[in-house]
Amino acid sequence: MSEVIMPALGMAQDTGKLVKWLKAPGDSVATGDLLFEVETDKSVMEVEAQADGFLTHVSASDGDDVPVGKTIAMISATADNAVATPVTKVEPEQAPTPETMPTVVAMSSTPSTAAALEGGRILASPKARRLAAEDGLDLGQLVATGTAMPYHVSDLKTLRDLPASSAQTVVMAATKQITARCKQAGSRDFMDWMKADGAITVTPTAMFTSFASSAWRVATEAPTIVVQLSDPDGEDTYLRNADFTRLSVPAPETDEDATFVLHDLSASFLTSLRLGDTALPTLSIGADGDSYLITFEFGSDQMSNAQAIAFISGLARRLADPLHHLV
Amino acid sequence: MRQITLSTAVNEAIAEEMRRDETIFLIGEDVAEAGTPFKITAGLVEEFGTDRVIDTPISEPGFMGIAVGAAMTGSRPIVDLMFGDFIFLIMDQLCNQAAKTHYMSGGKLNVPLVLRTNMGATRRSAAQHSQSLHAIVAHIPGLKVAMPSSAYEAKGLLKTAIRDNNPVVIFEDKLMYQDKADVPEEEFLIPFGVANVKREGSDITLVGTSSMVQVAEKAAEILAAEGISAEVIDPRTIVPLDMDTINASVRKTSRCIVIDEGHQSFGVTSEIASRLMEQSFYHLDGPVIRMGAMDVPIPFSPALEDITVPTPEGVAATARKLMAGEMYHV
Repeated sequence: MSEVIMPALGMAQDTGKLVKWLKAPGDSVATGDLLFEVETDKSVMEVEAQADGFLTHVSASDGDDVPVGKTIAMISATADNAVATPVTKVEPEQAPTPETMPTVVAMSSTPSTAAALEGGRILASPKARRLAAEDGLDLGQLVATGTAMPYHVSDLKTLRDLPASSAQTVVMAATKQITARCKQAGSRDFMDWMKADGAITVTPTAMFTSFASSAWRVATEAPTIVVQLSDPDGEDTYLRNADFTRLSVPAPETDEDATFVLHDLSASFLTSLRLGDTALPTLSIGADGDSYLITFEFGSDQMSNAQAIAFISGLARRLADPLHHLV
Repeated sequence: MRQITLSTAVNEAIAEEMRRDETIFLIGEDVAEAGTPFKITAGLVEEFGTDRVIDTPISEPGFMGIAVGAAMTGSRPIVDLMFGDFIFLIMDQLCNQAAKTHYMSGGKLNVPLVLRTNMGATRRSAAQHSQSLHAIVAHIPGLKVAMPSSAYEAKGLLKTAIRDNNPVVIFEDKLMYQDKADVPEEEFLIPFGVANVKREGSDITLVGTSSMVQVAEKAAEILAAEGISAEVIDPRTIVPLDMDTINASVRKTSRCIVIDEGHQSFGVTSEIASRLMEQSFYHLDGPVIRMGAMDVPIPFSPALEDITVPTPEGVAATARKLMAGEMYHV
């Protein structure tokens, strides 16, 4: 099953207007078929299907203004659920365009709260709202549990009984997420070449730190970038302007405040991490087969969608083709 | 304790007060030898004579005007208005004169007048003799409004009304005149503006007025058998209204149904529900529900009349929905 998302066609675009569907729910579609028309501030563009199957789970209608990155339908193996409740899946298991170029594959509001609220407001009794506010409970989490609205005081017990891990999502309530995927081959070739040709050892971590700093600088034009390189087993290190340092030399450590957190998970089975209650943007780089899986979480108050997309696109491009970047 | 009917309780209250204070007189249609159609004032003319128990022609504006003037000039009249529906005939005397004289005379004149009348449907009296019009009177500043829910309340509230120096309107439910209740032999008064918690409960508050207190109590019995604990509150007077007691109850239960026999729209149920919304909003776990008479003229047809006013089964059904969180409009 493959997701159909509202694409970001402009750099400063928050929503796209779905002009009209070119396929009806239940229609069979082939990769490359025109699926729907989107109106941006500049033009109307046609969006192609990225998979073969049937158009299902259609949750947006002609004329809707849809947030960029929102899943508006699925391409399924069967024609069941042609029209269904909105899909609020957070992480796509499969990129719509996994081949060729590194591609920003999905962007969505995460986790439950923001996603659930897109459809409308939470209905709850005044007392339930007051008690939730007094106890710091997020009624939005009840939406994700499937509890029927309107919420009453009795539903707060369900909320309190949610596992502690869910409670952390309160901190993350405003978080948005971007995932991207790119081939590891380019980076591996690059590291092998550095070693063979110049006897220079470049670690993946150093490469990630440098490329991420560089991509961040281009995307945000920040003068100083401090990467908080996480080490789950020990002390995190804070590296200043890693993109100004040669890849073979450790970047200078600093006690300045970090710009963002980097989890290098490429040597593990993990693909993304968000531990503790850090309020910083968080970048995770994991390995998935012969690809790197890049996950970036950030808040609306930290950067614009366009900046975040530019950052991750730039990072993926650098990892896919390091030499091109360095030249 | 002895049990007496509501009718006897009213009779006792009038007699006791007339013995206590010679300025009190009773006036109305058929109040003397006939003792009113409901036999409430029977025997009074024999004790107090025709100077103090005065039969009038069928002229409500006339005897109401006489009573208001007498009240301004030192007497304490008790006016008997045979049916509450006739209140429309005396609106000027009651609402423009009695209610405003103390205010407009700068406090120089008082109108210590009691208007006794009735309310209540299901007596097969048709649309012009079955109304419950207390909300119309309660709307006018300067008038106090009492709604006794039993013989005990009828006696205690009437004695308080007679001793009040302001115009008071008492609405007795005409179907309750023969209902008996425990009433002490010794003298007692019930203060205005003090609600009575008739039954304690923890899940839902049922506020009922007059005969709707009984409806609420029966509904509470039905609900108790299902494990729903209902608290029943009788405001006893709607002007003044004891919101402290009602708010305290609703803040405990988080849910409330207000039941009153007046028409639902623009009535007592609406007023109490509004005040709860204003004063206890953040304690409500569901909407405050109003249950009044349907917004139709009270039908003569018994089958139709019986479903026009709130019933215990209807209140219980509404309470169940409210408890289940199903009482909402989206």
